[in-house]
Amino acid sequence: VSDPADLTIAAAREQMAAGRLSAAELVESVLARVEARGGALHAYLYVDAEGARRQARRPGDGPLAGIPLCVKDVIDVAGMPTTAGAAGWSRRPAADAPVVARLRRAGAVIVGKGHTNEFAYGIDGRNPHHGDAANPHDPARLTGGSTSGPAAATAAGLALGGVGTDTSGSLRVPASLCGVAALRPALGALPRTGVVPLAWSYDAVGPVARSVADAALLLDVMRGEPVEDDVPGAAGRPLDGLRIGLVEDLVAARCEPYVAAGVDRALTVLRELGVEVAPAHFELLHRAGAVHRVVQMSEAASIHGPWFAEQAARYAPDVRERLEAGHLIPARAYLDAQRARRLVVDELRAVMEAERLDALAAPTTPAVAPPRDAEEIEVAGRMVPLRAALQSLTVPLTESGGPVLALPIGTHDGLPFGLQLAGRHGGEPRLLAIGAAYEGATAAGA
Amino acid sequence: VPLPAETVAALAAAAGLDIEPGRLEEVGAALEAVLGDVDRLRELDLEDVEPLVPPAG
Repeated sequence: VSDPADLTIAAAREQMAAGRLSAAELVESVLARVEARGGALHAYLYVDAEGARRQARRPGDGPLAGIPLCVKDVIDVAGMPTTAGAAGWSRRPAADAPVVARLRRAGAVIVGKGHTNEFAYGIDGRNPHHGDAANPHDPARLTGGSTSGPAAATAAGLALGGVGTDTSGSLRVPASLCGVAALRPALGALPRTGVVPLAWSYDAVGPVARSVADAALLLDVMRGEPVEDDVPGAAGRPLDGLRIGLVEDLVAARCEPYVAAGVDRALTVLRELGVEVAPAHFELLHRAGAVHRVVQMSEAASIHGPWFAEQAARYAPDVRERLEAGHLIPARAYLDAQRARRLVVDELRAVMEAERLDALAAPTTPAVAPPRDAEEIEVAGRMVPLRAALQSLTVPLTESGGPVLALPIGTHDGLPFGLQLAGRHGGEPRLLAIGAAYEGATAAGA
Repeated sequence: VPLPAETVAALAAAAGLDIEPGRLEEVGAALEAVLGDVDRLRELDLEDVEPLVPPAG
């Protein structure tokens, strides 16, 4: 890698430790990339180049010293506006969100605020107020969203990593479509203070990175404590003793054949690393979409209530319509959806327990990045509305509230797609170990 | 059966929402879809199931 902007965080740290690269050089390299491609990709809604240079001059000696990051514009960074990608709504936070404060204390350089769907209430990376984000692999394609900016920036060298949020798949979908890794930590694993909420039952803050190892480091820093590797198979193959359940209902007829083939290849690599793969079947998982829709729409309407009452006309039409309908959902309907959610979650946990599964596996998106003007996409021979298609595989694995890792596993026509691994509560270390082992094996040419 | 515009207008008024008459139909369709979701969820046996809302503390 000749341009420092293309390094992983781990490689940049190595070069800086060896004295071959300075924080200032790294940040200048990233800022040059922002200058060259930022306009076309629309990955940032706000860039603080001078602030980044200032931070790079005194990076300290923390684990992220001098590492340039992109923070999704629903997360507060002191000194930068938080707009949530909205028209007219903004705040000027006096303090960093705790996750950002921890990144800065570790030496991270915040380049700016990343593109997002309006109020993070979208899955495609479009934004009628600020313009759509463009996919670095083909700017005529969508990035996915709503963590569109950090994913595109990380993929294109406009940052070495990022921070985003995930309510329905907003970290995982853009990670899949842009070819980067992302982790949705378990609910409650990271503080949500200083983050514009969308739905309390689902909102999670998490890292975006070029490698699973980088995502693990960012998670460590944002948690404030290291994630201990607890993979049991120390003797023998790296992942001996682990079991993964393939959620077959999320593969057959739910994704394009090239995605299913990619998942199959990825599982073959994992088997070679020692993982035992078993089919996992659920009676209730197909109810997850309905549960999620009712809960999310109700909670989003409540969250947006006061602002919406004043400014409904300033919302994008699709977001406005969902919020209006959300206002009209009866309380009993919301509670019945939360009761049904308990059944879905109980079944997910029971199957993982009974089958002794460390993780569930499924594709992240049913297809590669669609064209920017797509309203529907083809999935296994059927045309499916874009929003429904893009979140069709992430929503079911969101329900349990456990961690979900998304990592790239292949390309089709030069466009990336990914795999999700969903773990139990507290299972982040195991997911990250599986992902890192997969990356190590495939990077070596497996 | 689509929700009549008058029903949507009445619900909106009760919720303090001001929806233009020309948009009542589309909002009604979105609401209709989500209430259909709820009906299907109620086919499950929800008796004795508490909502998955975190308890205080």
